Amino acid sequence: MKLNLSTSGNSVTVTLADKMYVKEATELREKLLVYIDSGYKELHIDMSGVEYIDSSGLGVLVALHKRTLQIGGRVILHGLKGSVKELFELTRLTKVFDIV
Amino acid sequence: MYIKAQITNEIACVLMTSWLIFTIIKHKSEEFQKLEQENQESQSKLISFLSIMENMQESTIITNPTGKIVWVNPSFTKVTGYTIDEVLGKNPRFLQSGKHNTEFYKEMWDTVAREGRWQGEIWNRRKNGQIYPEWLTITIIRDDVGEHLHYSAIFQDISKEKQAFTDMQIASQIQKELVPKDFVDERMQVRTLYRASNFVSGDMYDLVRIGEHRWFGFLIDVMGHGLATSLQASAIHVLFRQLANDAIPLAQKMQIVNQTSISYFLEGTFCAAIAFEFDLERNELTYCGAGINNLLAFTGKQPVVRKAPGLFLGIDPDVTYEEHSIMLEKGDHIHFITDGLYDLMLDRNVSDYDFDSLLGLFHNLLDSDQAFDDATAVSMKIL
Repeated sequence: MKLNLSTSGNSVTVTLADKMYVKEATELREKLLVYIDSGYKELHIDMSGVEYIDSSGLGVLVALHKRTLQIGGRVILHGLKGSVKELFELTRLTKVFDIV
Repeated sequence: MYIKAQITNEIACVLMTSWLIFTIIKHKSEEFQKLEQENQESQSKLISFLSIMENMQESTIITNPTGKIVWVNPSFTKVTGYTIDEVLGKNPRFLQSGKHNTEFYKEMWDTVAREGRWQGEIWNRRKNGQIYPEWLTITIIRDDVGEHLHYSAIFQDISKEKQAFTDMQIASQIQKELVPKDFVDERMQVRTLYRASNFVSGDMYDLVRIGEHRWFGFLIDVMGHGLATSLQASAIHVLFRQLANDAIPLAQKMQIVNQTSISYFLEGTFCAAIAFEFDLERNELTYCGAGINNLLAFTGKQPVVRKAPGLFLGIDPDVTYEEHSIMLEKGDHIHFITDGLYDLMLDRNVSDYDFDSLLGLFHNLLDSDQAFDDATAVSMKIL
């Protein structure tokens, strides 16, 4: 999966694309944990291009959410749609993340 | 004129000879310098290699072509207890443990002779008598014209790795004993499928009779794989079992498990679960999802995939859960599965599958090379 990363202040924005399976989820987690450990508190994740996400992908987003909470930060998800949005609603993760 | 030409020739010859001699001496001098330089480089390399072998973690034995030890490194002494003075000139067979038969050693040395190398697991004996497993590589060392100079034996003590492997095998057996197996009673048939991705599973399930015709059950799927997740799964299993006979709503049981287990989930871990109660007197199934958000219900009504909305365990201590119910009839079948199996099903249309063919599908999917996660299925058919 292609990861498009940019920073601004204490925020980092990543744009995801296509499908998120185990390999892509692992890559995302490793990259974003580095930013969190460097002090970035707001993670903006653009999901508008994500067509499919499995439990590994959800797991990574939850892990990032828990880590940012520890430092008083948050994860904001942008552009949820289609089956991915349905999955977030089914798992009630819509009540965990900030969704715009 | 002739004399002048002779003299000139003589002088030219002397000059030519002098030049030749000078050139030869210069060339030989350069050769000598080159040889000396190569010699110094070889010595330097030899010193480096020796230093590496002296300090390497792997144990090393060097023997001559007749098998007599000419050198061992300090790691050899550390692992076996024998000093270099105690083993010089001896054949390494004094290390034999007695665990292997003659055929084993014959096959080993035949392979070395044929292929120049043998590698494998072998049990040897330390000086204190203790036998231990090692991963051994024997190689023939030859010079640049193929002359056999030495045998080298490089090995690692793998006792800890083998013990860990044995422990994992035992843990796997214990875990399988903790979960109920297939059974049939007068009201229903239960078939289970429980497969760990690597020895032990982060999945867990149970089915407990809580009344004459009432059952309480649950599936757990801790995020991740391996030993740590299996420990978490076991802890959650205990929490659910403790609540089995409590006369409180299913959603409340899920809430209690969530609140109690929050501290079990370090870092980014969490757990998916689904709990259910079967009342076979009223033919009613009640279920409550917490991250395992689907079940397959073959009741003659669509859809087959029923939703069970609810947040994973271990994320938010204040979340509330919801219950849903399905009425069942004779012949209906229900399947609770974890995502290690559900994700393999993708959007396959299974509405025409009967009980046995669906179980066959589950097995086929898990036998495929696409299966990499822990997978669990609890399937129930109303009789």
